[in-house]
Amino acid sequence: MKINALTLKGIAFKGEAESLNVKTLSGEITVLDHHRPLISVLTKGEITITTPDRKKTSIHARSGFLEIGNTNEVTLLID
Amino acid sequence: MDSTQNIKTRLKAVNSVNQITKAMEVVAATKMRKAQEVALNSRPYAFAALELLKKLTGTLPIETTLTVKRPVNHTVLLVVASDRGLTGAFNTQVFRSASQFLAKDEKIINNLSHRYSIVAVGKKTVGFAAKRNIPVIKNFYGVGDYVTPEEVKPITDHIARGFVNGEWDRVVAISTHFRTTLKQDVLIRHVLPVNMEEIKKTVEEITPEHGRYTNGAETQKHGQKIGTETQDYLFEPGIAEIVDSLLPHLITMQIYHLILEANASEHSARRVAMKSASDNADELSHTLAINYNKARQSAITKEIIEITSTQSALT
Repeated sequence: MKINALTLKGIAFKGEAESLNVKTLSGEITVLDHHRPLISVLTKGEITITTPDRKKTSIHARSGFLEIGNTNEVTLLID
Repeated sequence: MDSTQNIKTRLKAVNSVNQITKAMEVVAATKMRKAQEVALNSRPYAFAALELLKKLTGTLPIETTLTVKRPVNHTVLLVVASDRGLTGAFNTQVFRSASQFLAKDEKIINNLSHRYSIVAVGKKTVGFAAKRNIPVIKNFYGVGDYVTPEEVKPITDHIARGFVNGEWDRVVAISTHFRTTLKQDVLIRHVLPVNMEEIKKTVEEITPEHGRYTNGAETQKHGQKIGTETQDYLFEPGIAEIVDSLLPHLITMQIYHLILEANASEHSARRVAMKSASDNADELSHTLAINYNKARQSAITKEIIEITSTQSALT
């Protein structure tokens, strides 16, 4: 899936990813390929993105939003 | 004509002023470029946030504590000016627009119990408020150079909290909009209660009209994208809760942009002011140099006349 992680300071991450681990208001979730469309609110915590070559990228978020579109695209708004 | 000594001192003084204003001009130019860059970096976020809001509110209009319209009894003006002077007409323009707005607004509202307060960004705003006799609720200094979203947060939090608690019923921002490096306008924007159109306008205004950072095509693409998709989203925890937490972010974003633009405008105004100052200093130094040469030459001529006249007297 394609991930677009945006902050007010710029683009934090952009590209292909295998999985995405975030903390939302209703608990910690892991997003894999072809997740159903979802809009959720992020809470304070680490966002972990695993790329296809098993590399992990970690971004700290104080709050933010998660949007999963139906074209296998994920947009993260991070504060 | 002045003595050569006097002219020389003046010439030196003018030259050192020239050096200082040149240095300030270069510094302001760099800072302006930096401020523009920062504003541009946050553009993807702004577009994405706006799109998200469209998706959320597209299904049904939502009333939250931040969108509710109340009868206006207390208006807060967020006036964004600079901390320091030497910015040409930058501050004066902001304050003139603020005065004009107040004059017009008082007539429209026509309510004796209505009052105004100011949230001041920049030291110069405090002076303006004192002159107009408007109480300052809170002031924020030092946001002049490189502003970060973290620095803007206290400003937004304060404004939003007061609005939710009912301390004030309307927030109006008066700040400079960076149109191009040579042209800046003062804009008056309504921040609270939240209005979708106002936020959209701010986002669209992020790109300057001309210059290095203009990118019309991209804006267009984004503009079309907004609102064309309707998808079957799952909302967690619920639409209302998401909108509730999204709106403060949008306000922060909006004010962040206001301040960034004001920063870019301030530096650009300072650059222009410093440029004309160094141009003037150049001109002055030129005329002084000519005067100095003339004075020197006339002193020499006088001495030669003295020598020759003494010589002719002796023979």
